[in-house]
Amino acid sequence: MIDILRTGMSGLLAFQQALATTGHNITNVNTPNYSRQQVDLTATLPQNLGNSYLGTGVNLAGISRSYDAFLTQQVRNYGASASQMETLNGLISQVSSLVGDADTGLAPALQKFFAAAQSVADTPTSVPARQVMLSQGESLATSFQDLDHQLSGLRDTVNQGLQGAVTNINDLATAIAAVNRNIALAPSGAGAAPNDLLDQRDKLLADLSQLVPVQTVAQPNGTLNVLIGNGQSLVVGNRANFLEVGRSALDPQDLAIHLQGQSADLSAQLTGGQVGGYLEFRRTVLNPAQDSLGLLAIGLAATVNAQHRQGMDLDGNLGGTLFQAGAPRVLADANNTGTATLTAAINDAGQLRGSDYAVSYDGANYTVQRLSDQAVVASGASGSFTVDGLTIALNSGTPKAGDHFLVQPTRQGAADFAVTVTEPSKIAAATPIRTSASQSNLGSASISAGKVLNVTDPNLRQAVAIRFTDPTTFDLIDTATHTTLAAGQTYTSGNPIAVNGWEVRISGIPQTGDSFQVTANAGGVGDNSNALALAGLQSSQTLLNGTSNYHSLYTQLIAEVGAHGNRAESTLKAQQALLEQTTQARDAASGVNLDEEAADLLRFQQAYAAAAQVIRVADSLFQTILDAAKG
Amino acid sequence: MRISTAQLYTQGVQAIDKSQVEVAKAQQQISSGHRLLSPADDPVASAQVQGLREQIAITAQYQQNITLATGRLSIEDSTLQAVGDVLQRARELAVQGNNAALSASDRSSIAQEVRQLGDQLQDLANAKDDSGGYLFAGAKIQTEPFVKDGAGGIIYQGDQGQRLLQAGPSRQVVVGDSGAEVFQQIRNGNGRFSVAAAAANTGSGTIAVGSFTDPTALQAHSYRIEFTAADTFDVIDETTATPVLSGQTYRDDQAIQFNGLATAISGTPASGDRFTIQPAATQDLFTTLKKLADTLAAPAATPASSAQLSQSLDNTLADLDQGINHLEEVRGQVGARLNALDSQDSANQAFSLHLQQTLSDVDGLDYAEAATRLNGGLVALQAAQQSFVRIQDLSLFNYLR
Repeated sequence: MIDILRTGMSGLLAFQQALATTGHNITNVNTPNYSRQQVDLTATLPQNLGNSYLGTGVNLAGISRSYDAFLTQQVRNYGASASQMETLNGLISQVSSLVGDADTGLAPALQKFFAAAQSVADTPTSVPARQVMLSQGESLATSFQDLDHQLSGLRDTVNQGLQGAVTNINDLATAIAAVNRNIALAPSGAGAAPNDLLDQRDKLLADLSQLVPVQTVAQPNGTLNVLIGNGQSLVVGNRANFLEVGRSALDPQDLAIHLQGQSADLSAQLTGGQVGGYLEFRRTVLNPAQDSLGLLAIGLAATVNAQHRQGMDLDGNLGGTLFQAGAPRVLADANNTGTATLTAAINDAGQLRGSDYAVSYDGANYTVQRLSDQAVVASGASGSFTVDGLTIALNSGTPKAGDHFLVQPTRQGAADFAVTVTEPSKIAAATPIRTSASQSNLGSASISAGKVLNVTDPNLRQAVAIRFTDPTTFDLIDTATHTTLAAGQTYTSGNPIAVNGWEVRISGIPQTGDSFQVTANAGGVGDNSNALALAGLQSSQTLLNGTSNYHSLYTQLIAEVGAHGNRAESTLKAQQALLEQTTQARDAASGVNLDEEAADLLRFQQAYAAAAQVIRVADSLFQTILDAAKG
Repeated sequence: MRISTAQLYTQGVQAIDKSQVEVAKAQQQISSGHRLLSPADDPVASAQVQGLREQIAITAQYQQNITLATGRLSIEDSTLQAVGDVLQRARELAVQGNNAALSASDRSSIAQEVRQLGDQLQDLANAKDDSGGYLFAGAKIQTEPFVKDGAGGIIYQGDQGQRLLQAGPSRQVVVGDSGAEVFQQIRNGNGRFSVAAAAANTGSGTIAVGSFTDPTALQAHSYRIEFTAADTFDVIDETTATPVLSGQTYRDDQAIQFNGLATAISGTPASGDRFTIQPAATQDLFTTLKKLADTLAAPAATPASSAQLSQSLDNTLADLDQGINHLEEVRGQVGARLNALDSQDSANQAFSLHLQQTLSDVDGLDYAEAATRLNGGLVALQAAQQSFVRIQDLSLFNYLR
């Protein structure tokens, strides 16, 4: 009868613990990463009665958690990818709306500037029209600067995001190390695992994966080593290594990530999680976008200036520069051991590309690599290169093997874009020379308008007469000094005649004695030819080796950002779907179902009541015996 | 398969979230009227939209240029018409004055009117366009083009510049002619050569303006017709100093032809009288009118001087006809430019319409489709919400009482 009592007691104890576990499950129904726990009940060792074995009750073998290591690992991995894409997508959509907005983007400002140039061509002497052109230039400059400023703001966002992520990573690493310590200390044997500590660690690992992808290595003592990147250990047993952010050695505008006390930049190896998202955004979207924008600013300034300088303003002076844009930037790696500094200058904006260039020195030769397509575009020992319209040259000092430089030809282009003309009259709408035919000409030949070939020619505006000594021969005479510039030239109708930095064409049949004049365009304020040429630049393919005009370059930028955004969006959807699926699979195994727990509650409660009944029966058996003994 | 309770909630909320995103997107599209809300929606179409918008704006600018050019050319055209009227009146007066019955005072009053016409012509030549610039000054639109010199003539202060306006992607239209082109570059005589009687002539012979029978045989040479007797003349090429015809017998009004040109002398020339034929020179309209007035004002008492008068009036009439023809030519060009602007305007409008249509195809919202999508989204959202409420209401604990 003692046996029955003991058996009943074992039931009471076991079901109490089972009820406690069910209660634990119920209360943790909303705890993230909580794995449902269940009691493992086994029958106690039976009593040998010689000819049979008598059962002695129930034993609580252990409390285990429903856990699938593979699914947990998968949820972590997909979580890292989804969080990377979410970060990336969020940042790209900001760039998309910046560059793609039909009303506030750069495209309308560009269009309005050139429309204003057309208006100046329509009424070249109208000061209001010129004023409008200048103010449209100003608002174009503001658009460039604003856009660049906002992109730089996103660079700051990336830097702050990295900083915040690293702080969180360090906190999580510390917490994981602490949990590791507790797990190592917890006495554990067969069936006795510290379930809640393990769940807690899984939760921390899942949180960490949101920031940066991790690999884990289980240790015999139950601890878990956590590795990031290419196997850099973040947590070893109960010890956490910390990450640090610091200025990138190559580009001080950017933050880089390295392990505390080590200088190696891990940025390139962290390809997942929020950190990966930030880094990928910076590398694939932000840098190219800012470079493209800068290329547009530099290209626009260079081509518009070149045309503007060929013109003459209302005061009769040659045109100056209309726009200025930011200069190329050369950055020396902070880890360089040599003293060399490089310079970069743009020599042909039409050939320029919106890419950065890496220059490295191996002790004997320099290598220039274009970063947009990783192509090696130049190499040699001289330290002076011309690639893609860009001249890179050794400025001073001597390099040492292993030195690196980063050339950003267009990064600053848009930030420093500005209008340099403030006086409406300084817009050069006219051509500095005019042509005319003498009234006394007897032939039918006519002269074209003059075209400036070299605006720096000192004799550009010197008066020149083209005199026909017979219908097929002409002399060029400087009428101010009465010197013959060229005599006995053979005349062919329609062929260019070039001297003093200009070119004209005479066509038709001249007569002996006919003459034509090319003179300074004094008072020619109604001449709109240069304004017309300026306006015409809008649709001229002047950039990217003559393949692109301003607008199509900008459109290309929008399309590229859009394509990145599109890819990020669809990848995000795919990763989220995968994450959902695996989360469901894991939750199916590990999650708490309240209905199930309610059923368990009933089950164990009834079992508990039944076990109590066993004790009551044992008690009544005792009473029966005792009553019998009383007689 | 087990479903965890937390998962049930998460799923329900996610379903609601997704429907809400759909609904919000459809709503945003409907309220903006655009299919593309972000370049990421369709990068290629977004780039296309940007290109189309630019094209539309550029075309609108071309249309604005055309309006301006049309205005300026219309002003030029009406000014040229007024100039034509002046010349016609001058021609009438020249014809009227070429009448032997007129007295000197009659001619003098005609001369007065011709001088008035000259002033009127100068006014017209100095006309301004709608933006206040001189219409016929070439590029020097702030310089008065035609001013009197001290000697009673009129000089041109403008240049020969022509302004172009962009009327279409590949069409630039000239929107004005310089004063030199309109008023000055006019050949006198019959356009190829001019004739004159020597001032010292004593006979009453006059030479006809003449014509050219064979333009290709025509040489830019000066000729002299010299009467060796009252009925005999020689023709000498003055440029080469060689005789062309000699010992010709004179008959009144009989054609004299050589080297591709034809003229005739009428009246009674005297021995020693000379007539010259010269390649046509340019003579501006002001000079032509001044010559006419001066001729009419000159006395014509003797047969020789009335022959001079008649000769001068004949020549001036020819010059005037050249001027009128030239003006018609210029007006014809202006008309052609106006036509070109008109057709470019139609082309631009058609192109713009086409662009708008493409834009609406690419970025325009199909409202029916979007409204259907919005409805579908709303239904899905409602279903998700209702099912969520129903499911979360369902718990075994509700029955544990």
